[in-house]
Amino acid sequence: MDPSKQREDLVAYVDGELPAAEAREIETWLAGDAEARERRRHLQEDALALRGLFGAVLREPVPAALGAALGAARAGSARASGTMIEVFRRSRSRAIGTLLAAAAIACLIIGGAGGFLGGRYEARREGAAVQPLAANWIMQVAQYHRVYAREKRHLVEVSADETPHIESWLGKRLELPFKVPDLSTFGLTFQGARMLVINGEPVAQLVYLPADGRALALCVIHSRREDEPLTATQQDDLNLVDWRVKGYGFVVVGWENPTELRAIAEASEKSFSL
Amino acid sequence: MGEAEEAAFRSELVALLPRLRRFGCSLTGTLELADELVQAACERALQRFHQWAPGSRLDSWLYTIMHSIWCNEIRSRRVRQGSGRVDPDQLVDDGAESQLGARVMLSKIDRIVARLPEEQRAVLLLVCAEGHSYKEAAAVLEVPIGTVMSRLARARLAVSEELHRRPADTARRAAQVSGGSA
Repeated sequence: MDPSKQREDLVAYVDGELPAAEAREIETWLAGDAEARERRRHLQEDALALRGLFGAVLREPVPAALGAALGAARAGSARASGTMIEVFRRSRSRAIGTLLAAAAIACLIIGGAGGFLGGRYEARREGAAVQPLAANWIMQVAQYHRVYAREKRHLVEVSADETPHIESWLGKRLELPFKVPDLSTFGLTFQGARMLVINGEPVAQLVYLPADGRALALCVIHSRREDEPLTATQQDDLNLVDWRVKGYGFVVVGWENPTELRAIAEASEKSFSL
Repeated sequence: MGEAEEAAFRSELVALLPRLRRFGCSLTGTLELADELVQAACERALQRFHQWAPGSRLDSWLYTIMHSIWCNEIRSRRVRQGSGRVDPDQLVDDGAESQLGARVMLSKIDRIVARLPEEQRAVLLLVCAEGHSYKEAAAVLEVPIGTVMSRLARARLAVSEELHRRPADTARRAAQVSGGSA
């Protein structure tokens, strides 16, 4: 069989869209070819990750300008808000006016609540939209970090005074024995820990503070994906370094530069009994 | 159309807006064009409310309208301003990654997909994120099912290649690029 046709069929096979006769051919190929099996596994993993494709767009508030303009059009008070009407002069119909006004109101309500609810806002919007974001736990870690790092008294759930408890508690939740990494050589002092829940999985968040500056966190989660080397990413002003090893995903998040984070990441891993 | 029916239809449309915008982004590569497209599609949907078969997927119907407005009006307007005839499979909007990225947080996989041709992005979104069958996606995009299959396969294999590239592959590629022997 033509190899490129075979790969095309493999995608349809993974999606459950290949007719039975061709599916049997693919299965024969898979049975005798380890590389094909690996390709299939990757495609299956990607399919999960792709469920959250452009998920950030779902969380964007629908532009208020849309609704504001249409609210005006509907009320027949077009003159009162001439500038808005200019922007959306194409939406003259009464019907679309009502529609987008409603959208604007929904957006204001949801947007307003989001400001206060932080992480919970994400969950609600996701649920209301379509499907949970399957893949991007790192993005969610960044969002949590941004919210929690502002806290003073409630920076952590369990303070560093109870380090042995933190180790046994989170070690059990993760099914991964560990010692809280000592990052004092980086000028970081352990403050304590918190358990987050992302995609239904417990996440251990270990929080550190530098002598002068904002919090840094090391987060650990179960991962079904295969090992991945350290990768530095950035989300707005936050830097992240993530990696996956032996069924666990790790990420270090903070305002330190990526080189610093990478060194911290490398130093942390050996505290976990992987 | 009854008033209650129309109200129900509108509120369903409102609930769909975030997803319509996301599909718009996959087609157009920018949030601004997506919003223009969503607005035009909602207007048209309301005008043609009577053509929609209750019980069928409202989202798919809206996607069909969006895709047709995009191909026949907005994109063709932009293409006319540019270089003339274009094969949609080859149409790579170089700006999609940076333009979308400037407005929303793109994940690693989002960035890879943003670099694909627009027809591949759209089919990926419909099948993988929206859970459309190949047949449903073919109806939305008004192409034969075989086209959906080949576009989707190209897209999925490209994404997979990019995501699971091993360090050795990267090194080999770099060596090839720099003209060294691998």
